Amino acid sequence: MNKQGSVLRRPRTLAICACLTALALALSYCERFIPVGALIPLPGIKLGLANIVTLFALFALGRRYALAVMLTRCLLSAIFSGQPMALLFSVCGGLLSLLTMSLAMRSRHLSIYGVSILGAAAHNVGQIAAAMLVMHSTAVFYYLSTLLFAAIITGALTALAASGVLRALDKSGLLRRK
Amino acid sequence: MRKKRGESPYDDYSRDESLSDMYRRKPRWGDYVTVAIIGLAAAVIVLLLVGGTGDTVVITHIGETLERVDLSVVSGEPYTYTVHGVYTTVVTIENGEAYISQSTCPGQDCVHAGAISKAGESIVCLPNQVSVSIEGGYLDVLSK
Repeated sequence: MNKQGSVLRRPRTLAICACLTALALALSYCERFIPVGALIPLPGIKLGLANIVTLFALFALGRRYALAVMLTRCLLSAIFSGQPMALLFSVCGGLLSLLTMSLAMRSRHLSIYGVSILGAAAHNVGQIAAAMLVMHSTAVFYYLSTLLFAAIITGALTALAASGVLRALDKSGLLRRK
Repeated sequence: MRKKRGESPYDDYSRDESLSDMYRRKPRWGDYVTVAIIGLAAAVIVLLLVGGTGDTVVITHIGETLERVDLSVVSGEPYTYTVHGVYTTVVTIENGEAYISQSTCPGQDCVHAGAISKAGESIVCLPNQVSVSIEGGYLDVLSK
């Protein structure tokens, strides 16, 4: 990669990352008002709207920026909600999810949908692992099956949203390099 | 500031993709395989964990077993057990099923989780680190 090019790009990418982090925080707050739990009676189940941002950052900016946005979001969200325990869960899920997604992206046979579904599934696995750690018990593992089914649906919805955003922003020229 | 393609960080993952589907927005066959594998994994977990014989309810707090109750023994009067952790969680057993009837935890997910009656099923209260499970799922049987 051209060094000079990336340096010139930096302020703009930084600004985009800041916007994305703010957007992710807003989305994870709004998510509390969508009662997914009423549809599927499972503790802690949610749509994962903030993952739209991570997915978008991954596809449009690359994994480094996606990681930065995700970690900042987790940290700020834990500070705002005042629950340090939430940090463990979101970071465990987020890191495993991002790692899986960036690996999945290497396969040419997967589109944004497959990558997103794998990411959602990995996120749930990470959270269950964190829960096992907190509980000192494997009882939580029972929830994994339902969470995996849910990941297929939420992952596909997340990809649908991110795909729409990518199309719109690509058309608008914001992501274009020319 | 005009640049040739391939110079910006935005190109990292899209350089080799055709322009029409640069961000891989259209489903590919690998996606369907992914869905099938995850669905299968979820089904296998259910089949392995739930079912089998056993009706002993085990209540644990941070990995420590507090109480073991036989589901079938409780008849008539509901049996209740209160766990005093950071919060207070009340487990009720009646009519062959166990559920968390009351909890002072924020979120109340454990109360909304409903009742369990089959071997291998669990209810978890994460904030209070309490779990209620029914022993005797296939995995329990195998590990003995």
